[in-house]
Amino acid sequence: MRHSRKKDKHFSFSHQYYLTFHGGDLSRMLNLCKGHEIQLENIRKDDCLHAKMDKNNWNKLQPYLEKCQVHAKIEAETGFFVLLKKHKWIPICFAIFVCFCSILYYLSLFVWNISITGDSVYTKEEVMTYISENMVPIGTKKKELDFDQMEKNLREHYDQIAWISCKCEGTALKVDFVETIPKKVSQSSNQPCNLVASKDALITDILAQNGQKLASVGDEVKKGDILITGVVNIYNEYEELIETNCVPASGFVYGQTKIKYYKEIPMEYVAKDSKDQKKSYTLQIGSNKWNLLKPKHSSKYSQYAQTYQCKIGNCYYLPVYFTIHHYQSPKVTTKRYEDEEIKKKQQNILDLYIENLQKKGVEILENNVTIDVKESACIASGNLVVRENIAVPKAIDVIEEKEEK
Amino acid sequence: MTQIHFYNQSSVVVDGYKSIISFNKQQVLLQCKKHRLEINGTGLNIHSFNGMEITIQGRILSVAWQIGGQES
Repeated sequence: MRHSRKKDKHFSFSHQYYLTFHGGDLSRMLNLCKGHEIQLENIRKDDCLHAKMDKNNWNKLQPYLEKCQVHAKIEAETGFFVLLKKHKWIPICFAIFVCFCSILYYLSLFVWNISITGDSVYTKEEVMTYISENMVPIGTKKKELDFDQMEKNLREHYDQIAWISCKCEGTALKVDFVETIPKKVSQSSNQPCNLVASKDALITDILAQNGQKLASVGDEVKKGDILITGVVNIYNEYEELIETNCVPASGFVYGQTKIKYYKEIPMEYVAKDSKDQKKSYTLQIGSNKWNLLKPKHSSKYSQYAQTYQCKIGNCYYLPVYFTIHHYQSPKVTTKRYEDEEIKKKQQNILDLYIENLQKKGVEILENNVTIDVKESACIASGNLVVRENIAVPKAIDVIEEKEEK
Repeated sequence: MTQIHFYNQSSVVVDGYKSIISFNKQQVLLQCKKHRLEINGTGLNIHSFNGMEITIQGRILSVAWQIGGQES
């Protein structure tokens, strides 16, 4: 106190009274305060005596005021509780804030969202449905989650999962998995087989890794012709057959083939013009739903809905859903394509078809497809000359082959 | 023993005083063990006090002992 020269007019957390004393013997009152260790601060005197004191000292002072016949008047009060009393919205806001924090904390103890990453063979929806129906229903307590068991169950149920990780981030259950690389169907099995032509073709390349070539480059082969045989004859130096072995034939045979292409698109199409659009909203908290602004006669409309889940940040999901329902009453009209428009559409379909062939390893040599626009339809027709692997394995009946030889 | 501490011209702390005899804006009169202490100035106020010490703030002009009713 000795070094403090600041006047305490600012806000204080403790309850402080600003008092005015008048009448009676003020000096005696001050001495009584001194004697009974009642602390007063900022004492100044003009017509009356002004001082500041806290609530405890104010209570202790009461009996001595009467003794000195001094009248005290509270001019002002400061302190946290006084502030709360004065501004009633502060405790209300504080209570709301505390409730909000408590609710958030309570909700953070549960799982409200399941997110899946790493899908290609299995879809997100498929895995998510399986998890939510059989393992972790939405709203499960986080401390009840057994990630090891969950990973084990998922690996047992989905046999093409190579690696899986389950973890909880915020209120979201995150499942990351990597699927196994699909096994290629090997042409070379241990069973004796021939490689035969899968379609009519002109052979452009042939390489026998195992077995004996029966066709050569430039040969025209029919579907089912043996290209590389798995029957290998062994001759002695006098060119006498001494042994016949049956092996699984393997190798690559590329042939030039023709693929017929035909695609017809009608010139007329049915268009839906949905000018009459309406919306309604649904608020869902937990399992309780409230429909807002639902249009009358909604059964006449076709509809679709988009649902949004409330979340704080990236992974703090809440069981609060907001759904927007779109209602449309489409007017159906028949329209006709423009020539250029339909040609472009046909070309796009053809390009997509060629792209899919190329993904399968087919090389396009010639594109002889033409697009013609007629009165009723647009027709794309012609041949694609391609180079592709035409060899497919076909098993050998070993006994029959030996008997034949 | 009464001790008097000055902080510039704006604050006086009296340690070991016995009682406050009178107090107004121009003068604070304190009873110490043997003598009275007279603090004169303008805008004086008692910043704080307890059983042992009292802090007087304001524009301090003089501090003097009154011995036997006379200033020393």
